[in-house]
Amino acid sequence: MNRYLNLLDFTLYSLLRRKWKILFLMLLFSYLVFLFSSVLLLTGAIKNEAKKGVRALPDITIQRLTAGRQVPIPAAYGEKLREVFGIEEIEPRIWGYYFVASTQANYTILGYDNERDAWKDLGRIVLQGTNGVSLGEGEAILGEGILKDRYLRLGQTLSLDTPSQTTKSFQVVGAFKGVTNLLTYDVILLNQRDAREILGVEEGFVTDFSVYISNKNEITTVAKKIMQILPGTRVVIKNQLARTYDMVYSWRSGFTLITLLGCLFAFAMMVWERASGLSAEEKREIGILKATGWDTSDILIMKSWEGLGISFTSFVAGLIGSYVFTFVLGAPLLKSLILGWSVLYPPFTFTPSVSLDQILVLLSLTVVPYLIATVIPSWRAATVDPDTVIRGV
Amino acid sequence: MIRVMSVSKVYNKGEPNQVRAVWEVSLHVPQGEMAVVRGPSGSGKTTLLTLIGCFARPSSGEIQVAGKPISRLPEKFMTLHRRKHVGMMFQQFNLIQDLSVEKNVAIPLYPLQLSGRLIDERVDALLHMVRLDKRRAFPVKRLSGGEQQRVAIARALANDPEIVLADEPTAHLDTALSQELMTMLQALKAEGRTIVIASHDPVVYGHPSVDRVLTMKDGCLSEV
Amino acid sequence: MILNPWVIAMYVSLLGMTALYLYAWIISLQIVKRWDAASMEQGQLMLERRSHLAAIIIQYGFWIQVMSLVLFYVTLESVSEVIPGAMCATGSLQANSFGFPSLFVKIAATILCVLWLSLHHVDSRLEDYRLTPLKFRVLLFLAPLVVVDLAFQFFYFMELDPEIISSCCGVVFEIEGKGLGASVASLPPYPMMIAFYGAIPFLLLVGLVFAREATPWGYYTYSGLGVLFFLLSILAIISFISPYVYEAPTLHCPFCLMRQDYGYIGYLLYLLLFGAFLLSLLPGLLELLKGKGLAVHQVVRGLQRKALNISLVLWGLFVIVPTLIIVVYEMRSGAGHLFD
Repeated sequence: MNRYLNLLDFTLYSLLRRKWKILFLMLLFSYLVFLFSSVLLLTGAIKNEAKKGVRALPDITIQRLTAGRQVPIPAAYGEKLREVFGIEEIEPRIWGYYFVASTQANYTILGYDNERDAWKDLGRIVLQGTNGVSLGEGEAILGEGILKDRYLRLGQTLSLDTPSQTTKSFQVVGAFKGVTNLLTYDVILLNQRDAREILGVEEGFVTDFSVYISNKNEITTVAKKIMQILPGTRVVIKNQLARTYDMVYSWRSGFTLITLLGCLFAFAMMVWERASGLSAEEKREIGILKATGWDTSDILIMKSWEGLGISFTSFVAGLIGSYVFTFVLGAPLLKSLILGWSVLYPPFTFTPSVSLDQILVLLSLTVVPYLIATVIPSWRAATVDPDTVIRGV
Repeated sequence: MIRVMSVSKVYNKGEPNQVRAVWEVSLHVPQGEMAVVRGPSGSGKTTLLTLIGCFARPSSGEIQVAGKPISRLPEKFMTLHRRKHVGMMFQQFNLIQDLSVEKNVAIPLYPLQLSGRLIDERVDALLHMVRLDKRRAFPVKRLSGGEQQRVAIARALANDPEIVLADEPTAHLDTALSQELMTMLQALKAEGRTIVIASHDPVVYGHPSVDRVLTMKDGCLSEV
Repeated sequence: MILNPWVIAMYVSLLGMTALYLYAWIISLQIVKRWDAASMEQGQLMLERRSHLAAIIIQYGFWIQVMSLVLFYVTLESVSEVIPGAMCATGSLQANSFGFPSLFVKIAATILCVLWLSLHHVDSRLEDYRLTPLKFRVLLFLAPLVVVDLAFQFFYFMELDPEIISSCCGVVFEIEGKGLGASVASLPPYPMMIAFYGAIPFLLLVGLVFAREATPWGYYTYSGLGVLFFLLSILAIISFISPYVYEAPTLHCPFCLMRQDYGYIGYLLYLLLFGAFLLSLLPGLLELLKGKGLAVHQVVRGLQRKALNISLVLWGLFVIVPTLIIVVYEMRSGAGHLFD
């Protein structure tokens, strides 16, 4: 133990003597860690947000497709669904998209049925301005993005056009302060009758059905039965959605990381070159150490301490930098890469989190390659012949 | 103490630039004696010292120190042997110029299983012995030739060796300092250490404490 | 093919490690062909120095192997979120035919790594490189195993298809189900407990008695018992230890133990188990080296004793930890025993 500590002491002293030379290396390495880490932290945070959002969704959603596009589904299908064993609750939903030409934005309009409590999932999202959710006709609850896009505040009026070219006004009675802006940022919640009118969904039809299953292990089985009794419908399972989100974001982050691997490789080569080229001074110094009683393993321990010291310090610096970049600054630029572009961009701040898994991955992607790149050069340094220093060769 | 038996060292064997640095050298230095190997530059004095000090292996022959053969040890055990038994003063001092006096002296002690406190104590004693206490924190490059020589001595004695080797120790010193150095080596000899010096300086090989003088020429040895 | 940061990290560290191991393999080849300890030539000195390099590579390699084992588990968990039917690492491993073989090759490579490092430890304490040729003949076989590890890993991740449904641990380790996992899970818990707790005093007794005697057959017996107890422990983990951790008599997954939900207890258990197993192998294996001379004999003796003592402590701890879990559960539950 003493030996390791003594060698560590000497190593730190030695590093301080060459601080300017290694500072450049550390800056570069920190930057590399920063890049990798930002991608990982951002993806992790987005996945967490998506998971939270998906939790609030119904177990199964049933939609009708014509020529591959979603069309309103007959409300009567709800009766057929009651025949399927295992369904706890069936809720018909009215919702759709509303395109605003002036700002090129797409709003999502959700219809709320006070009696049937159709949006029980929304009850889990914190609202501002109303106690609970009870929407009369002519009232609206808006997401943050809508408020900003239309420069509105509580109590003011939102105007929307109907398909029959008339304009309807709605008083803003509440706003979503979303647990996750990912779902509510561009949402307008209206009374169901108003939603029907704005979206042009005829009586006797709904947009889709939310289905809740009593035994969560049976979701797939129930979904299969539904597909049998309602052919021509698309049956979407919550798990599938969760999986899709995960895959999409994993894929995007994986892809970004792969492009960064090129940087890693270049860096590793640079480290190798640098470590291999011992200056005459460094060679002399190692020769002196060996001539005064240090053996190859002592030099190797010193070199290992050096490598660990440089890589871990840079690692921590890069990690802290990326934490600040992602969770304090909101990951500008990088966010677009992972989330994709849209006009109504949720500027949500992510819930800060760093898991041990992520740190393990980062270590494998940065510190491990660095140490691997320095193994052979360190050994070459350690095998400098003391004889050469003594004879002045 | 030191027995060298028909030892040769050939560099770059079989190649056009082959050099016979030491050839069929035999010598015996009993414990507690001081021997000087003199000869011109390139005669193989330094190489002989490196072989005796277990810094390199001979191409042929055998060397024994205190009865133990050391010429065929694996590299690791050569180092262990040196750590235990040998202290060397090099021709060019071979100090790390940017490091302080005390850090240079402590270098041989770092790989050992000594606590920081013990290392400090040992360094204090050594610096006191060579009268460099007040200069301990100075970087070595700011010291004079004589002072650097003293640092080199202190470092060579850090591991309390039985054998002290010195390669041209007076090369960078004036006569007065050379005399001072020989006095210090005499004191080491009085402690029972075995001393072998390579030098062509008459102050060294003419000193009364020297027990035997050997001459090397073109890698071969003869006793005077 | 699933592309996520965990998989990429696995590839990067494995590729780096494989490159190093291949270099070590080349060095082994040179040493086996040209080693001559009696030679004083420069060539021999170079070989001695390269032998240091090979040893350093294996030392680094060991740590990377251990990290990649943990990373593999973490990757399996992350992949289980996108493979339908897979709820944990077991499901991920079931997803294609390379899953479990991949895991076993990894574990085998890590174990052999430890054993090689032990051999190296003995060799490095000898003054005459006596065991070096043997050491590198062994390395000739170890190094390619890492390439196999990489290949299996590669095929496993290539073949992963989120469209193909896998089975979760509830099915693989189902009582009265089909397959090896199910057979183990179906072992009756109480007799298993008796076998487990009955074997441990026997193992400890053999270890403590022979620790004093230090006879060859004593060491061989202890190592043999170590292997048997290791296998018994794996069965015990699946059959009754994991249900107590999950507090559910029908859950037997040996991987979910490593989840955060269960306090990462799996890591502690497996660390103790593999540590104890490897250290109990050493006394018997090292005994085989004693014939190589007095110096070897002396070095090996010291190491055997140390390995024996530490392994006894680790076995003890390995038994105590699940026992505490079981006792705490039984004391708290009040409403009858877990397997009733």
